[in-house]
Amino acid sequence: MLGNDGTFATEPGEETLMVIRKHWLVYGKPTLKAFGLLLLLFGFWIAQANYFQQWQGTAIINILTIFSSIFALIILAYLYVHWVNYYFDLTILTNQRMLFVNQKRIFAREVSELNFLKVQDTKVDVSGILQTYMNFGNVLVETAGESPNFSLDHIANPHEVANKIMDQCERLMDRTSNNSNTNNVAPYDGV
Amino acid sequence: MKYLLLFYYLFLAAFFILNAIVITRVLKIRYRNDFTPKATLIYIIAVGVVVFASVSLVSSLNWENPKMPKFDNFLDIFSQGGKTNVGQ
Repeated sequence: MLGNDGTFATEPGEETLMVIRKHWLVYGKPTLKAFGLLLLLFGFWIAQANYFQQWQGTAIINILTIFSSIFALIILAYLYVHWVNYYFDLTILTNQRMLFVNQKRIFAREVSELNFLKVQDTKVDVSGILQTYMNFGNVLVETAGESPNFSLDHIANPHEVANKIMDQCERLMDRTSNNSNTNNVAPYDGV
Repeated sequence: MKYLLLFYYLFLAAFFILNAIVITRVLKIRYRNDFTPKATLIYIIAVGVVVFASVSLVSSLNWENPKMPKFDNFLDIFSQGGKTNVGQ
């Protein structure tokens, strides 16, 4: 699990291989909209100073200024909270397991982990022109038995991530089978 | 009209308190060597700029005895290239 000391609290012999986040376009779309609204607000403030002189001293300018100021602050807060949800929504790949951190809101997060030994297969889904050219998509990690499948949505380089997961899975399985073979060898009795 | 000003300052106070709580939480859940401190600093600067600009604007307005606007010559402000004396 994740440690409170700002590390991924890896177990002995465990090392972090990859930290996977969603593609920046996922954050880019609402950010562009918010910046558009902020530009409109700044435009209004400039227009207010230069064009609405006949309305200076009237109640309507006061009301518009107050609500535009409040709106600007709300947009900034929205941008920051949205960034936090984007930035802390991540998947950590170590040489033994995968950690899925789902940052739902500022005060709501879900952390689950999956051992590579339980991974059966991965599926990559890249659909659409944008995903193909910007190289992002979904990776579905299928697990054995009744364990739930895990989905990594809108991540960058999905093929690379899927290959890395399967590669790590095979390595761990090889290591485990080698260990069990070594343990199964009959002890030399000196005869 | 002064109630609106009071509402604005109350909103600012609530906004600052909420932001302090959120930023404390975010700095608590961050990972070592990540981008969070820089992003938070950028956010604080942006909020500072917006608050400074809006407080400057708000304080330059007439809160003592604001008049009601005249809408009959609204389009004149655009037809005379911006600054106009219409309605004064």
